[in-house]
Amino acid sequence: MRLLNLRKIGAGHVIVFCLASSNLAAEITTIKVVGKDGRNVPNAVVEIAGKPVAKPQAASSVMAQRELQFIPSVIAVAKTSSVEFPNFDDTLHHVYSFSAAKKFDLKLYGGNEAPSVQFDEPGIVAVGCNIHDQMRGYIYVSEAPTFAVTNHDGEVVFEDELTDRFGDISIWHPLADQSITPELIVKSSVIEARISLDDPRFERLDPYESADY
Amino acid sequence: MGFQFRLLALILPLLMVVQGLSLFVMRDAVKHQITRQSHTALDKVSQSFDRWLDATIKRTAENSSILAADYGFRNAVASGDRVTIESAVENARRRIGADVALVLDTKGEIVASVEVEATAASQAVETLFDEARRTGRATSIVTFDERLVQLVIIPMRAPDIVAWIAFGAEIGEATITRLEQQSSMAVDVSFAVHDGSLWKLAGTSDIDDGGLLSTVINSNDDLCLSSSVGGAHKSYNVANENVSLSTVALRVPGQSRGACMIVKRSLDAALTDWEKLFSLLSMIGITGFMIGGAAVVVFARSLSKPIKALDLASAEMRSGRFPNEILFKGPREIVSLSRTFNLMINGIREREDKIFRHANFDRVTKMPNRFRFEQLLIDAIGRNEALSIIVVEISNFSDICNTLGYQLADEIIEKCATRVGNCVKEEDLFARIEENEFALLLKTNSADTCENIAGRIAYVLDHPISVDGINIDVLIRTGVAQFPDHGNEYIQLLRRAQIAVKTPTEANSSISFYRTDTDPFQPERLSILSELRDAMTDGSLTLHYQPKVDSCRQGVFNAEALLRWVSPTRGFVPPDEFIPIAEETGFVTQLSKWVLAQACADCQQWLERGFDISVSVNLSVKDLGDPTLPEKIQTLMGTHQLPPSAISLEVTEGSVMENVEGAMRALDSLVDNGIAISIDDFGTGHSSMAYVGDLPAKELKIDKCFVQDLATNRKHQMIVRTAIQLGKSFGMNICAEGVEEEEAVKILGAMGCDFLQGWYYSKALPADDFAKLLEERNFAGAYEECEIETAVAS
Repeated sequence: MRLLNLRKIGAGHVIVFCLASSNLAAEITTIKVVGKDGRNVPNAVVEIAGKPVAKPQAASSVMAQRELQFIPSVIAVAKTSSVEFPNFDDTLHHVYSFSAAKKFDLKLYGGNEAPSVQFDEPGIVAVGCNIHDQMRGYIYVSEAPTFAVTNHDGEVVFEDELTDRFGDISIWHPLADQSITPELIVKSSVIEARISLDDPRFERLDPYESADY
Repeated sequence: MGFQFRLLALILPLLMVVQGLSLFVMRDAVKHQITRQSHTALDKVSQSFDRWLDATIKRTAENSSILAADYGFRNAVASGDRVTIESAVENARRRIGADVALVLDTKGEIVASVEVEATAASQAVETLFDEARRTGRATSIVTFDERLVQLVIIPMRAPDIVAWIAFGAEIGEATITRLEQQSSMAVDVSFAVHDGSLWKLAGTSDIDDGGLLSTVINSNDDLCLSSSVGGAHKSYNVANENVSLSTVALRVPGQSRGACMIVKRSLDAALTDWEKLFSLLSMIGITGFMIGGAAVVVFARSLSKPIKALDLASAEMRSGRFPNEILFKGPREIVSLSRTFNLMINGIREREDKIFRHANFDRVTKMPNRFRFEQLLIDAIGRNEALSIIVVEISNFSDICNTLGYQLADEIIEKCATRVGNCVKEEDLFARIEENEFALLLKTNSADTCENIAGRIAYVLDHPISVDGINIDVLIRTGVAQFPDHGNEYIQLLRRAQIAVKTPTEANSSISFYRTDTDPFQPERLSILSELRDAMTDGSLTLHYQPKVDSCRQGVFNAEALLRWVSPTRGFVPPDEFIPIAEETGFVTQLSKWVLAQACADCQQWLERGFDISVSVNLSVKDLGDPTLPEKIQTLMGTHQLPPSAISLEVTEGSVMENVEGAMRALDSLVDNGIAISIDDFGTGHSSMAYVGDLPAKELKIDKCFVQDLATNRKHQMIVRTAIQLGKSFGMNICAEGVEEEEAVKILGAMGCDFLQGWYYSKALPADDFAKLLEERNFAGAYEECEIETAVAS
């Protein structure tokens, strides 16, 4: 691996090209979000502003409750979308959010119910269960045309070439208060988006562990 | 210094030192103990505080956490309405019993505050918030202005952190009260907060110390910066009170000095209880001191009292009295000493009695002796009573001694004493003052009484005394001297009584009284000798010559040299007065020598002038005892170129008798040298016909006592005649002295007396006058030769 070029693209965007002899001309369609230490960051929301970028599958708008967890714990939805909160547990849940983007309160409901909430304001909505403190979920209400949540490898795979879109990429993670413009490193066909996160010990979910999808 | 004082001076300081020292040591130990206990107490308070703090933190945190999860509370906080938030927080604060409550937003800004001004809290919270953000929760002591608060900050999740809530327990009055109450000992707990320039007391139960504690902590900055728990306690003086201070520095985030807990324990107060004990101990000490002192005094007295008594008794003994028996109770040694002392006194008393008896009483008769008699006589004189001292002399005592020996003589004396003792009154002192003399002291000067008693004594001793089968006659002489008639001094009186003894008694009297005029022992005698010695050279002593007239031819061929002394001080001194003294003292030999020399000188003059004269010189018994006398006379006569006939010597029979052999030898020698000897004073004293015949005398001189009244006394006429006849029959010339009348001249002439001497012819004349007499008489006419006829007047 050889450091080919280092140039600045826009404010805060540092793009590093790593040229490999074999696939020099490969398409770049994957963004991999890593922490400062290089570990994969799952559950990060990758947003690409501007022209939409094609994705293999649409983003889920369901945040289920399964085994006293929100599954998935992080979802990204477009503004005005509705999100369903199906309860698959035996116990009742009382899903709520006090977040400024959307305050809602789904009073105790059982397994057969799947109430939905519409998110009209863009922003981050932290979702909790009033009777199960450990349950937390995040709904990222995005205005951007393209957004996705990293899998447990920290990757988001797009169908379109991203080479030109480096400047449009921003990352959000529950450990971050707002969207972060990442440091991008091009590694073959993957853009490694490096983000700096706060110490995760007490405040948020462990950024490096993701719930099962 | 007295024993008692010494003992006190030794014991009392010792007691004092021991008690003082033990009190001091005890006090020191107690102080030490109190200090240590104080330190322990202080440490315990600190530990208690720590525990309380931990518990408070835990409780607050737990409660807070529960509260933070409360949906309603969260909902209220999430509402964003300040009033709602505050009321919800206040509610929560009450629920968990916190003193202070705050709500912070996720940035740390204070959204709501209860029981504290947001402005006061902001700075403290800011620092703590950073830590809370880092660690998810923060706990610390913080200062809100001067309030000290244990603050816990925890996040409020919904489910993310939507806010931070802080609950605080104020460390204040209640804490202090609780800590102080929990302490086993009285302590004062204070909290100090540093406001940037000074330490200020955050809450104290000791607010009435006038800021003194503040002063102490501010002047001892280190104090509040370190924790002294478990040691390093220091004592300070706060408001004149000794205190022990323990400090626990309390870290306040963001401040270098923060806060401090100060636990104060008053050592003085702790000592107060002990002070009672100390004063009690001091009292006991003082009592012990006094009891000790008293015991010492009692003990010292028990020793010094007997010693003083012994001292007094000894002093009494020194002054001659015998103290009463001393008997002490008390220590064995003292009792023993008193017994020994008593024995000693008795011993001394007995010995003294013995000495007194020996000194004052006669061994044989057990009568008072001379010494005692004199003492009592002195006493009696001192009382100025009329006294008579009668001395009885046993005149043949030496005879008795020589004959019978002293043992029998003692018996005789004893019997005499008994007899005499029986006839004198009890109160009259009767003593043996000499070997052979008794003395009787009568308290009267009545001559009759003396006579009476002397008569009785003479009577009782008149009967022979029988000892060892022998009857002994004792011969006594009695004399008396009286006070104050015969003298004022005891020695004089006694002597005069003894002199009176020697004086012959008058007829019909058995006692002779002292008479000054007959006392041959006048004191002036003693000065006579030295004056006489001077007289031999200064011319006041002269020789006078009394002619011996030849009864036949009425011529003067012979003269008796007689001493005349006209003393410049005494005037005329009769030879009778000074010659006996000279004889007694032996001075007479010098006197005789002077007389001989003078007589020879005068005689030489007369011979040179052609007078045929012979001078008679009287010799004393002492002269006769001098073996060199003849030689001396020979030399003297040679010097003056005198023929032997120029000097004749007169001696008395008595003087020859005293030393017959020596005298005879001397006289013979003189006669051999051609010197004529006369027997002087013939008819007086002891005469021995045997010796008269043996004496180589050429002349016999009849004493004047027979001649003076010859004309009228027929008895004397017969004696004189007989003497003349006796002398003649031995071939001696006879010379009569004391011829004063013509009648005597005739009688003596008729009796055949050869020479006549007396006032009838001439008194003794000075040498010059005598020379004139010789000139007138012997050259006036021729003497007729005449025969000496022996005519006896009928």
